[in-house]
Amino acid sequence: MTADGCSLCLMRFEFIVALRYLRARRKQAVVSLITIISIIGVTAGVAALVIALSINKGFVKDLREKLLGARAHVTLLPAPGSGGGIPDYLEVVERAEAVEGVVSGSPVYYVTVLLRNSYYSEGVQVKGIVPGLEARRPSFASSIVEGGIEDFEGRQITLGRELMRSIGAVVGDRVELISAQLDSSPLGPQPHSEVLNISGAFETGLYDFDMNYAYVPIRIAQRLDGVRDDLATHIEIELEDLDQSDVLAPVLAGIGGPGLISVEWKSQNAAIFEALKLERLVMFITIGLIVIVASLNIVVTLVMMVMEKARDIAVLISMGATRDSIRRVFVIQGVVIGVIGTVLGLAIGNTAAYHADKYRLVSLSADVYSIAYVPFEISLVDSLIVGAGAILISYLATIYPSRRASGLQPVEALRYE
Amino acid sequence: MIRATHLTKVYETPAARIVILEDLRLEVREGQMIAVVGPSGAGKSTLMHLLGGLDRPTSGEVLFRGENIFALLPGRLAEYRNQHLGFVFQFHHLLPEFTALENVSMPLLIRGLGREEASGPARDLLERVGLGARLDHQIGELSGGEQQRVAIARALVGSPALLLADEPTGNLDPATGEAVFGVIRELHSERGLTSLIVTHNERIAAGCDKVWEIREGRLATA
Repeated sequence: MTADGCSLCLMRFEFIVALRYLRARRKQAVVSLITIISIIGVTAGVAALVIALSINKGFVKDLREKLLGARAHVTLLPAPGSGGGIPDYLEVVERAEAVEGVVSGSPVYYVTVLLRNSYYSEGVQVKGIVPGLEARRPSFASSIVEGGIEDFEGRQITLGRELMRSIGAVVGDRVELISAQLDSSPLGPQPHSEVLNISGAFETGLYDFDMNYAYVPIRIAQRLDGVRDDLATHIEIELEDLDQSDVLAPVLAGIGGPGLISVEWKSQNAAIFEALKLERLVMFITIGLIVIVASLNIVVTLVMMVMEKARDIAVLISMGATRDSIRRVFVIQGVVIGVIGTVLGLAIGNTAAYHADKYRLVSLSADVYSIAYVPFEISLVDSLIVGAGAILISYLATIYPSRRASGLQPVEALRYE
Repeated sequence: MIRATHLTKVYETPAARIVILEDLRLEVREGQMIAVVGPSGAGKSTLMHLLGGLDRPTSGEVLFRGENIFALLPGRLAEYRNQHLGFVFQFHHLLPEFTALENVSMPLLIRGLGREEASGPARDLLERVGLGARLDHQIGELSGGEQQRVAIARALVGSPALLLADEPTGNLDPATGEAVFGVIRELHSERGLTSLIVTHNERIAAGCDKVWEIREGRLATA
C-alpha cells in the first residue's frame, strides 16, 4: 500500500491533517479559543509545578548547606554507657583523617552553660574547640563575620550573631559563663564561672545555631564541665562528599576504637528532610491537579473538534483513511497541545525560578525562616519528570475523543447536511 | 467489475421497519457508465454507500472483481476504497482547511505518499479539469462548479477503477452542472473508468450508457 511501507510515512497524512486542524481558523471560533485555553492550562500547571518544586528544592539545599555549615558530616562520640569523653582525641583525629574521603576532623567539647552580661542572661551551648583544627573546616572559617580566630586562645569567646544581638553585646565586651559545676569556696559551694572576652562573632544562617551556640577554647569548656583531664565529647568530621556520610560513618566508628560510635548528618536530621520530602510529594499532587484540569480542556477541545469535523472524518474514510489513522489524527492534536503547553510551561517556570533566585525577588522574614529570601533551585530531573507527566496526561486525555472519532459511522455523518 | 447480489438494507426502529433496498441485484461491467435514477428516498445514496463499503447491508453481497468487500478486514476495506474507488458527493465535501491542491492530494497522502510526491498527480488533474490557476486557493474562494471539479479531481487522483458519483451536479445550476458532467464524461473515457452516477437530471442520464431506476428498493431498467 505504501511506497516503502515505513510507519512514519503512514503517519505523514495524520500529522498533516492534525496540525492543520489545530492551526486553521474555524467557523466556530470557540473551538480554537478552547484550544488556546487548553494550552494555557497545561502551561500554567507545568510552570506552577516547576516553580513549586524548585522552591522546595531551594529550601532543602539551603537548609542542607546551613545545617552542614554548623554541624559535622559525621560525628564520633563515646558509646552510651561507656562514660566520660574521648581522651586521646588528637590521635583519633589523625587516624580519621587518614581515611580516604575525609577532609578534616576536629575534636570538640560541648557543655551547656548560662551566659550573662550586665543586662541579660541566656542559656547557651558552648562548643570548646581546638582552634587550629576547627579552623580547617571551610564552613567554620567562612562563618566568622567579625573578629578572627587567629588569636583565639586563652580567655576568648566567639558568639553567634543572633546571640550577640539579643544580649546587646559587641566584640571586646566581657561575658560571664556560669556552669552547673560547683566549686567550693569560703562561702560554701558556688557555681563554676569563667569570665571571657568576646573576640568575634559567627553567622551560619541557621537561626537556631546562631542564637544558641558559642565557641570557646577546649580547655575552658572542659573546666566549665568540671573535667580535669584533656577530653573531647565529640570528634566532628568533614567529608569530601556529603552523600558518602552513611558509607563512611561505620568506617570511622571502626577506626575510632571500641568505645566510639558514629552518627552522620542524614540520620541526625532525618525528620526535617523527611518532612520536606513529604511536602514535595503533596505539592506534586496538588499542583499536578492543575495539569489534570487542563487535560479536561483537551478532552473538551477534541470532543468539540470531533463533532465539528464529523463530515470531514466521513469523507476521509471514504477516501480510504483507516479508523486507526482517524484516531491518530486526534491523538496527535491532543499531544501537540500537551507538548506546546509543556514546553511553554517549562520555559516559563524555569525562567521565573531562575530570576526569582538570582534577584531574590521573594523576600522573607529572616528571623522566622533563617533566610531572607525564597531560594529556588532549578532541577533538570524535576523538569523532565513534570514534562513527561504532563505529556502523558495530555495523551490520556485524547483516548476518549479519538475513539469517538474513529468509531464514527461515515454514512450518518454524510447523510445530514 | 462490480456486482451486487441479494442486497437488502433495512432500518429497524422501535416504531417501524423501513426497507430501503430489497433483494437488489446489479452488475456493472468494466468501462460502463451507468446513470442511477429514482425518486428521493428510493435508496440511491444507500446503494452508493454499500457499493463503496461505507455502510453494511442487512444481507447480501457486493463483489468487486469477484471478491466480497464485506468479507474484507477493516484495513483491506480501507485499501479498497483508497485504491479502487473514487467518490463524488452531491455537496463537494472538500476539507475547508486545505487548498484545492491539498484536497486533491489527500487520497495519495492517505496512501502514504509524501506531500511532494502527492502534489504531482494532483496538480496534473487540477490542470486537466481546468483549475490550473486555482491550485493554492482555499476551498471557500472557489465557485460551486469549481469546487465540484476539485472534488472530481480528488476522486480520480488515485487512479481508481470505479467512480461512484452521488448527484454530482445536484447542487449546481443547469449550465454549470452540464459542464461538470462533461468533465466526468471526458475523464471516464480518458481513464477507462467504470462509473455509476446517481442523478435527477434527465439530460445527464441520457448521456450515460445505461439508465437504471431504483423503485421500491429494487432495480428496474428504465
